[in-house]
Amino acid sequence: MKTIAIYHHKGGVGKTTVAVNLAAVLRKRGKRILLVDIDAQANSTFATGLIKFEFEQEDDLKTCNVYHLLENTHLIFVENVVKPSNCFNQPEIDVVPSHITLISQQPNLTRFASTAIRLARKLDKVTEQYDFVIIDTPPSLDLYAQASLTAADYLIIPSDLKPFSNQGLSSVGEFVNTIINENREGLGKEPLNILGVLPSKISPNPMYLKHTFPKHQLAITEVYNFPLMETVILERTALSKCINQTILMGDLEIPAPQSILDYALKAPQEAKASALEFEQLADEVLSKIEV
Amino acid sequence: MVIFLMIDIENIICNSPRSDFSESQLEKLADYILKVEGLLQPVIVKKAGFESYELIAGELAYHAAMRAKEKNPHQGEMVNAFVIQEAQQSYVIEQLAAFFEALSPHISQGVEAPETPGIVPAQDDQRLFNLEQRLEQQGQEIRAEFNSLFQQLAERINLLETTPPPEPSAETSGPVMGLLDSLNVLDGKSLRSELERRNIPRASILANAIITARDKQPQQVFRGYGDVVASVKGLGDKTLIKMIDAFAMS
Ligand SMILES: Nc1ncnc2c1ncn2[C@@H]1O[C@H](COP(=O)(O)OP(=O)(O)OP(=O)(O)O)[C@@H](O)[C@H]1O
Ligand SMILES: [Mg+2]
Repeated sequence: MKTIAIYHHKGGVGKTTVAVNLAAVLRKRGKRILLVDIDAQANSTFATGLIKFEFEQEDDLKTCNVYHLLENTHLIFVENVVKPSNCFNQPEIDVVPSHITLISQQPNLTRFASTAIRLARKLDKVTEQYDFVIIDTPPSLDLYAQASLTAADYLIIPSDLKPFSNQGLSSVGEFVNTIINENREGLGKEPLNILGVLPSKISPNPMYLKHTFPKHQLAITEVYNFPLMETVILERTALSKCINQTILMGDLEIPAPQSILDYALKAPQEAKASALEFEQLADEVLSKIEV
Repeated sequence: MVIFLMIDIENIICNSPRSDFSESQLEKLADYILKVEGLLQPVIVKKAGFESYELIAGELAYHAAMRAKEKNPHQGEMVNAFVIQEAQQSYVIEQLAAFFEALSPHISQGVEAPETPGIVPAQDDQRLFNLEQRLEQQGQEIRAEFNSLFQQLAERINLLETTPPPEPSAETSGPVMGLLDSLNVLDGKSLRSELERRNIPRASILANAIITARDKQPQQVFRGYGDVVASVKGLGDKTLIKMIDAFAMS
């Protein structure tokens, strides 16, 4: 089992989009996948079809989510909180959901000495059940980010490569080199392996791609000293559309999110190019991780 | 800097044995901890390694909390702890000693007179006593668990034994005999009362005739109802059928 965190502490760079669709494409290749959502916004939980209820009393995730893995050492395990995704991808993937209450619960967790390593410990118990664990993280340097990266063997940093986003890279590097790798050493694990910065939400404008984008790419390796991934995820409306689909049930509009790959089966001319980029990402990840 | 944290009690290394404390005292304290859902007497620890802490002070609180965790693992996983730095350790001990001293005059008031020897057991004796108490208690807990398991098992076996098999068929229904068996094994007197009980007319004459006919059978046994009709004087088909029916019903 390999654990990959999708992380950048810059918000809105496509972490969730990359996490859920990478999970979907690896699943289609027969890998056994666990997607862990540890962001209080619960966007991955939504994107995998687990938030289809209309009213709060139907919310079955509040008492059964990723927080409960962090709160104790021997009481709640992955098997107690995991749910299969719902009409998200064929085949479906396993998901540890998140919940908005992660925000209000964070102060509890900061009082517990072992919070940051509990996710790692609990994932260590499911190494036989999964080939890949993919963690969608919050855009922060908080305890949830710490728990995620401590549990991860590999890191993918999605970024639009704009200077503003790059400002965050050095603090990501420092975070990994200090707190995260100390935790990992304490747990007897190898330092976190940074697969690279993944160009994401890149403008498909040909002029930009031809003249500016190569300079932005170079800056990652030359200025910020981070490895750069070869795959490029362009900005395409299909990627937000597949997550924001709905269906009508009576007079209720129910969310009906799908992976870009399943969406591409339905709307090929619109989504095929994006789906291919994720196939490419899967190729690159598999070749770099060597499973 | 002193940090205040909730620490997994299993990560704390305590160098004083549990037998330093009386089991009944630990038991009582554990109940108090569980009632409040937390230890109000923080333990003082220093970091001993990644995720491990050495207990500096609070041995009684530690062992009481351990007992609380044994009693309810859902509640007692973590304890409140002050995590001190190595460099502070002597000052921490100084502070604790000062508090202890400030409190102890009250405690030792009135015990100026030398205590009667023999009432307070020597330390080793006390420890042995505590250990013995703990073993005794563990023994009781194991016994109680064993008893409850045994009870459950016995109830199950009992249930299985008393539930009758589903098909109460005539051949297998134990002591209730069919007519032919009754005619072959009963003596005159019993046969008569069996016939009377089933309201068969002329029971006493019939019983005598049956016994007489049976004695003339080879091996004194009717092999079938054919033998009975053929050999018993005054017994026709009709009566025999009535008898068969009456015997089949009870
Ligand atoms: N390649 C893309 N093409 C088009 N839209 C995209 C792409 N990637 C992400 N988006 C859209 O951008 C928005 C933010 O993306 P996403 O939620 O994946 O980012 P994030 O990094 O997870 O955000 P946050 O930091 O809030 O968790 C979403 O509306 C998403 O649909
Ligand atoms: Mg996100």
